[in-house]
Parts: sequence; C-alpha cells; structure tokens
Amino acid sequence: MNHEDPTDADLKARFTDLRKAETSGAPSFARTLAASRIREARPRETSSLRWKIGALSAAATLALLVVPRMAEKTPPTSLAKALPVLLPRSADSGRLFPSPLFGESRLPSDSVLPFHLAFPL
Amino acid sequence: MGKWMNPDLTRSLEPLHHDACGWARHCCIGSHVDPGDVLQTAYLKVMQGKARPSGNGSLKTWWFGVIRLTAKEEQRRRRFRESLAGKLLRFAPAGEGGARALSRIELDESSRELKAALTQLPTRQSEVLHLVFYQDLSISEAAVIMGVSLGSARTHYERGKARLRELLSHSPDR
Repeated sequence: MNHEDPTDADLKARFTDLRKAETSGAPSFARTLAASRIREARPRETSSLRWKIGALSAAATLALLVVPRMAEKTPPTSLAKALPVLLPRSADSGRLFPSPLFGESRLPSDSVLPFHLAFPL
Repeated sequence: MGKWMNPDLTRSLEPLHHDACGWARHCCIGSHVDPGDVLQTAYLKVMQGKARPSGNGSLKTWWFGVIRLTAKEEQRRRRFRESLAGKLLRFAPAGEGGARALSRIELDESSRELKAALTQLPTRQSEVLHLVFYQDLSISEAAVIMGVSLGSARTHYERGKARLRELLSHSPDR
C-alpha cells in the first residue's frame, strides 16, 4: 500500500465501502466463464463486420480500377460533330458570302458588280 | 466450441476475479459499455490464447491491462456502432440485455457520490485512484497497467486526489 499520507484515510474508507458493495454483488467466476464460453460459441459480430468492410473495400477498389479504364476505352465525342454545320459542303448549295469576283453570278443580283463587268440590261 | 488454450492460466485468474470485476466496472465508468461484456471478452481472449502473460510484472498487472484494453476496444466498437457508418452498415445497438448482472448493483449514497465524482475526473486520474485505493496496488503497478511512466502516474495520482476531494466536498451531503 502506498498511500501513507494519513489524510488519504478518508478516500481509502470511501473506496473500501465501494469495494465491499461491489464485491457482494459480483457474479461468480464459474458463471462468468460459462458466459464467456457461450460468447465463444456465438457467431462473432466482428467477423460479420470484417466481411462488410471487406466487401465495401473490394467494391471501392473495383470501381477505382474499372471506371478509369472504361473512360479510356470510350473515345471522347468530337466537338465538331456536336456543332451545327454552318458552311455548305456542296458547290450547288451556294456560298454564304459569295465574292463578286469569283462567285457564280446570277442575275438579278443585289451584289455590286465592279465597273468593268457592268453590262447594260 | 473453441479449445481451452490455457486452462492453467484461466484457473490462476480465479483468485483475482472479484478484483477484476471491480476493475472492469471502473473501466466502463461513464460509458454505455457493459462491464460484464468486457470481462467475458477478456476471459475469452485468455481461453483462446489471444492474451498471454509476457512474464514482466505480476499476473494481476497483466490481467488488469488486458481488461483495460478490452474495455477500450468495446468502447470503440460501441462508438462505431452508434456512428453514421455503423448505422449505414446496419449494426444492432450493442450490449442491450447482455451481461447486465455486473452493472446492476445497489450502492449506498456515499458510494454513488464517489462513483459520480470519479466520472468527472480525467480517465488517467480516476484509473490511478481506483488502482491505488480500491485495488490496493502501488503507483508503480498502476503505471504498468495504465501503460504510462511512473512519474506520469504519480502526477495523475496527486492531481486526481486533489480534484476528487474537491468534488466530494461539494457533494450534497457535506
């Protein structure tokens, strides 16, 4: 015993009373061991926890591995395909900005002809 | 049913059983963990050979260390079950209706006050006071059980005593 300080006697007395009360109500050794044996036979909750954590980790790892590869295999959609075609591809469909010099002139036209190409109507 | 890995060791723990009950109760003070569950799990560790004395120190200090660690594990497990992650994993509430015999004890007013005061102390301080005054161990033995240095245990002891006296002096019957 190391509490040699006489002023500790009050604390010691209180703890002794507590100990007496608790000891009288404690279950026997045999009973506690029997309960431990039952606990041993019972399926462990920790094992189910391990399974759950393992399954979740496996799913997360799989997702981390598979998702980037899927993204690699799928080529990104070209932006040009998504945009509407503004320029006509065939010559027949005409040009958006016909040049008065090189464009196909069709009369009547509201394009201004250069003077040397002016002809009387 | 698993094998009894070390029946001699289990039998040698019998004389320490009542002290172990008191220590398990103290380790669960202020938490919702059942001391009976803690003690049974600690015995199970011994039976299964998961806990073996290292040879350093006495059997009592080793056994109390096992109980202390088991109580901490049970508290962590309980906190996890009550956490959002635990609820998502659909854990049932822990320890309801389990080994409640150990925690169902009628105490007189003085003992109830002492326990209430101990719950208000920091864990280390209440542990060292319990080990010294209740279990009659030396501060160095308490230090081994708590896994702290002797100097640290002494400091916790002195501060704990002063704080406990202060708390008890403010209790209603004084």
